[in-house]
Amino acid sequence: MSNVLIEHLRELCALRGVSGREDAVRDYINKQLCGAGQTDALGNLLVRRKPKIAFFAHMDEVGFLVRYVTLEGFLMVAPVGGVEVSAAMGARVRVGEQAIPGVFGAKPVHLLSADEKSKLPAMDSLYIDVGAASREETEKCIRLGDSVTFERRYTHTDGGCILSPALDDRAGCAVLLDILLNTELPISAAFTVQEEVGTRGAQTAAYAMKLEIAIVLEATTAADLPNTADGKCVCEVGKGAVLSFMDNGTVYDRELFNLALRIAEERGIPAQVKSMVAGGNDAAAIHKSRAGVRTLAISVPCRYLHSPCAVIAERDLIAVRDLCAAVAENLCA
Amino acid sequence: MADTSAKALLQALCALPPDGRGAEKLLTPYLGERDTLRTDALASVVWSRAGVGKPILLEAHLDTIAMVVTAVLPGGFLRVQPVGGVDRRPLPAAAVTVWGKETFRGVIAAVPPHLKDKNAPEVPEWTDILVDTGDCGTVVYPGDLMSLDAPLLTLMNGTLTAAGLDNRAGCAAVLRALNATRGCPCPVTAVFAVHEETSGAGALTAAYAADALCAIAVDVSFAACPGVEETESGKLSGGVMLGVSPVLDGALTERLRSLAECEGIPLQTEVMGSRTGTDADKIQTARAGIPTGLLSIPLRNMHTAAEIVSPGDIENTARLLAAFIINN
Repeated sequence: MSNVLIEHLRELCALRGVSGREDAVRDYINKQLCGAGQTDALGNLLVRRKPKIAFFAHMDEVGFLVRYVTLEGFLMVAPVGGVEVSAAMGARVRVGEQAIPGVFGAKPVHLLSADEKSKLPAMDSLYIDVGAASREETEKCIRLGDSVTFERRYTHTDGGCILSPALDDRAGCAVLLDILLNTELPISAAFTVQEEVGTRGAQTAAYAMKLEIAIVLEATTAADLPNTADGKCVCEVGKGAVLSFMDNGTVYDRELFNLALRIAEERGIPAQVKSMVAGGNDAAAIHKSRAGVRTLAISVPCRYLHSPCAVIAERDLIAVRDLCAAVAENLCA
Repeated sequence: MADTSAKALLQALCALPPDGRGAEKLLTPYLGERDTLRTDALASVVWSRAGVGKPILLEAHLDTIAMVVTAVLPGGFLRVQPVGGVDRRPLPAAAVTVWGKETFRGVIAAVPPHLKDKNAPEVPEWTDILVDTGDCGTVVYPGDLMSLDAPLLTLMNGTLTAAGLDNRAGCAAVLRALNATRGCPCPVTAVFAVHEETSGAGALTAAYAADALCAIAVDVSFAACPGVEETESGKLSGGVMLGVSPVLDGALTERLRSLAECEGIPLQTEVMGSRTGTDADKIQTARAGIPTGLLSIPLRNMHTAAEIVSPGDIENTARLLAAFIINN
């Protein structure tokens, strides 16, 4: 059963879906669901089995939009979501519907002043080189507004780590898809759009679904590096599903949080509590929907979010799946 | 016979580890009847084409910038130091290949933005850079090399990008020239030298051993791009860059220029006021001195994973080298 989950994740990570351009991800998920999902006005994919309880995962990923083409044919871009300059520089990307390959350029280190060597350039000075010799040539296959994603990469190491750029939140999508395919439980689901630009999709999806309980499936920052100060790891890769009591967007429902912790303990599912108030996700919009929604987040710990090479552990993904399934079972009982 | 197109050569060359280990095996299928290959004391690969008299020396460095593992930490994290001038700015969250007992994938660890110390430098120091290998167990040891993970990819116009095109592009040009001059009686020694990015020791020692009549070093140089003006660089797809410098032999340089003119090979002139920063500097003073020229292939984003070259520039470099051999 885990093989199917991993296979879905691999296929989801191969798809490109910058915020607002989630079509390929949505089509894939709905195909797996044999068309059971409905697409709303913003592009969310809603699966309604029972109106009161819903699971959420966002389909979009961070990236860029082409905002200008220079005379020499280089692309200047606007970031979509929180992407760091250091993650973009030197990275391989794909541009537009034709997935034209390109790279973020960098002034050679040999030509930098001492000051430039220790500073990062501004995001709005970064450019993408697609190999074209002129603006005319670039514009033959790239238009302003085209989306740019990090190059699709997917490595599953012998040690059980998965490296891929869009694990945030294709990991959540894969888990939610897996649960929908493997249970007849009366739970609803929303695969949302535009989380990375302010949880826009979740806001309208939650409104439409008139919920009492929502469970958000996410990938959350793990800072468990050897040089991280004590108490600043947030969560750790390999230590199981991450339960949040609070982040920058949400104070989570205390009962649901306790329920999930208890179920994890009873069933022997690896789980950990997020140890810093940091980040945010679709819960920020969902819990404030209509007259309020009791909300829980269950996350996969993920290193290097929003970069060309995020890292999760396979066993954490499975823990999140198992815990979600168990929580769903309990809530529906 | 093995595919000798620039792209096929680069595909194979860019898949070699940063120190060029395995190059002798890779090059063997390309040998002609009078050609032999050997790996010298420092691990440079030397291609010798038999003939009468002292050989012409063609040199391209085989090594690329890299990182070397200095410590293996618990949890599969590695400490590293640079081998050559690695640009630290784009390293966080970049994928790497670790050339240990087995080769495997790693990621340069990046500190999440909300955990960054406001007083910490924007660009991490080498002592703060860690490589995340998941859990690599016992297959990696201090001393193992690591390269940026970016295999050859074709962009628009056939433009090529890969990590390590500095100077696998130069190696490809030399190989193309060797292939094009198989029937020519002129003796040639082609050195694919190690250690250019650190000390130049590979070219220094191989040039001593070659005892050549004259030499042409083939490397890459800066191509214009945003932030790098055409006044301080060459142009991608603009042709071979002919080096002019006090340390380069004037007559040999002029000969290369006139050959390019005769053959209709596009040329750009790269003027340097002192040493060239390439292996040409080492070759020039080998033994009692060797008249040395320098040809460079324009390249963008040098010493990052996003190095870019034009195959046309490689081809033109190969043509000029071949013309030099044939007209010797």
